[in-house]
Amino acid sequence: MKLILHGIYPRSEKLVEASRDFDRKRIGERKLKEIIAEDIKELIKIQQKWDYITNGQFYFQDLLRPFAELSTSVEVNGLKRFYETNFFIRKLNFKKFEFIKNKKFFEHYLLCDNLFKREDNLVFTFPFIVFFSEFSENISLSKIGELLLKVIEELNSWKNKIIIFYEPTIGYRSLKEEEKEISLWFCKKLKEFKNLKFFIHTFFFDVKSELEFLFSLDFDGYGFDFYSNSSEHILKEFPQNKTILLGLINTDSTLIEKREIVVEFFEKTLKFIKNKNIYICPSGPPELLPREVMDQKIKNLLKS
Amino acid sequence: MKLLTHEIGSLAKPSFRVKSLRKIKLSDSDIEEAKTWANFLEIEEKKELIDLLKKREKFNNEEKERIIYFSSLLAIRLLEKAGLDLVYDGEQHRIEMYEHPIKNIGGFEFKGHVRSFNNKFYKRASCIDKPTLLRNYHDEEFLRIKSIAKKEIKIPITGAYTLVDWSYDEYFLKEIKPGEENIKDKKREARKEFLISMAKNIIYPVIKSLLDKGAKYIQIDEPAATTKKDEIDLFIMTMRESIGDLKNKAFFSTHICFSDYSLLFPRIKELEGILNEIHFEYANRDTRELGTKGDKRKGYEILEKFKDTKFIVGLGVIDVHTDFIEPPELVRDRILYALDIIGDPERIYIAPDCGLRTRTWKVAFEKLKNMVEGKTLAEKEARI
Repeated sequence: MKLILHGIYPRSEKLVEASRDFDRKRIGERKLKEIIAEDIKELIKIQQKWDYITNGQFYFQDLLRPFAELSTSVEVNGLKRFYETNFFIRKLNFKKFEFIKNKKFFEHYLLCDNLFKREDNLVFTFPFIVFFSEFSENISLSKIGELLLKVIEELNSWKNKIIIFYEPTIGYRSLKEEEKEISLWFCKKLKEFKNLKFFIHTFFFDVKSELEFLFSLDFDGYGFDFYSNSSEHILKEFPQNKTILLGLINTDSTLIEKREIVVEFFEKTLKFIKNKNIYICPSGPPELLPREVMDQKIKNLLKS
Repeated sequence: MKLLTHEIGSLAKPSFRVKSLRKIKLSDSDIEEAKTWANFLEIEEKKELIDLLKKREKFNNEEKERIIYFSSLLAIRLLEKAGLDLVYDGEQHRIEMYEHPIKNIGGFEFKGHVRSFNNKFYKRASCIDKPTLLRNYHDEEFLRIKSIAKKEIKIPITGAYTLVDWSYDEYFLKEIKPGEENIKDKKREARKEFLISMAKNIIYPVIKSLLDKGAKYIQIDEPAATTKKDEIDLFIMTMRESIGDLKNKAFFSTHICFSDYSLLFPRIKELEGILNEIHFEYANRDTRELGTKGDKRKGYEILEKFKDTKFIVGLGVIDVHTDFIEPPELVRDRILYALDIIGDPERIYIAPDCGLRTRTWKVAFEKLKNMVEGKTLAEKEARI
């Protein structure tokens, strides 16, 4: 069984405290960075010998905020609830859209100021275009697509990356025709980048009625929250030779998953999908759990 | 008749209170800050406060109690000086709106911090057993505030729906298998059970006890009310169970923020006669331009839906997430726009969008003072 992590990883209690202290000017940036680096190191330890690892995206205050660095005149606005959670994202208002290849986005947010190399096997999680549009203003879907493609273009030159797109809107509401069309266009464009793999991860909601559309998006892999979905239909419909992300690490509960249940699910999946195309992952954003709990859940599965 | 003003719960905690309770040595600037506010707010016991703080560290329990008393006193006087009609102490007696009640309810276990937004985190708990009320956790606080306040008090309590939504459920939901059939129905049934248990066994007795102690205004905070679009019926059921036969025995308001309010309509009408006031956040969604027309007052569109209800509209006119000090004229225009839609001035209460916990006292005071000034301008303009 292979594992993969996505999204922003939860901060340790020490880092939570330091983040607060930094905001209140009790500690400086250097000290904060030191503690972030410790958190990253601990996270790397957990992911030893994995195909691809996440750096935790600790510098992301939410999945959209760093994108404010990539265009002229972006205002970081009021808060909007992240779907049906108690987590909020600040909306980005693109007063004017003009792409800037800002080093800060790539070096600071993605490579954590030289803690990682460009050629490392890394997983990055970005918002898919509909999710992005839910939390931004004055920017069209196609412009969002263009913005993401500029980032992808740069990452393609780095090679060895998996890009996981979060898209909880699928299942949350019916997508409009335009949203579907532009999603299809965007996925076609992604195919031009041969050095990267692209997955889409859906979560929180039942996506049964959206499966046909979802699988029409030509991704290398698809992820599902199996605490919001019955498995029967998804596994039967799942396209051949694609990768599946099994959201079996429940991000809505601190109970540690029973290994035999996970193994049983994995074996059931093997009837439909090849072993090499299966990853186990958190059902939703890992940040919904405290760090210690998330760590325990992963370590528990690593014993399987 | 005049438009009534109130706050929405939290204020920041002064550094002398935070540090002394966290066993951090007080600095000169902490003491200076206390002195400045005590002077500004004309606190009679100023000398006692400063003498106490001069100890700087190793405060005993009795001294810590006095420090909480002083932070409460200062906060109440701040709101009174800003000119509000209904006051509170900005949660000086509490840790915060979730952790405080949960600590006083059996059957919960804290698991660690999770992010709310930016670098704001809250300590999240799991429900691991049947919830039981360990003590009426707002009584002491209410009686203390009552002994200090010169104005009417509104006491905020965190509602059952929010306490449930912000917790992990590992008791009612027991165990679900990933991918199992009817997973959605199973989760909903467990959720319903959890909500009823919290409403009946926790929130109802907490409210009843406050009413017995003389509370007249109760604000039930439900920031999570519209979090899940398929659960509006459950939220309404929870509110009914929480207030039960106490309706009409006090003024009940609910505060909901940062969500899609349209989901509440029309079902929210089922709470007419149970809730008196419904307070939303509006300013956070609005423009900062002056004007009383819809194009400038974008944040207030939802007011249309209140037209054919009997509720008092709790009108958020101050954005709590920025240091921008709303000019009184902007507050005035927001109120005039609301008056134009709602019509009856008795159906509008003026307040900030939410608690001002994330702002400094200086900013909070300036904002509230301007809110009251703006309200006065609106009254003049509308000849109320």
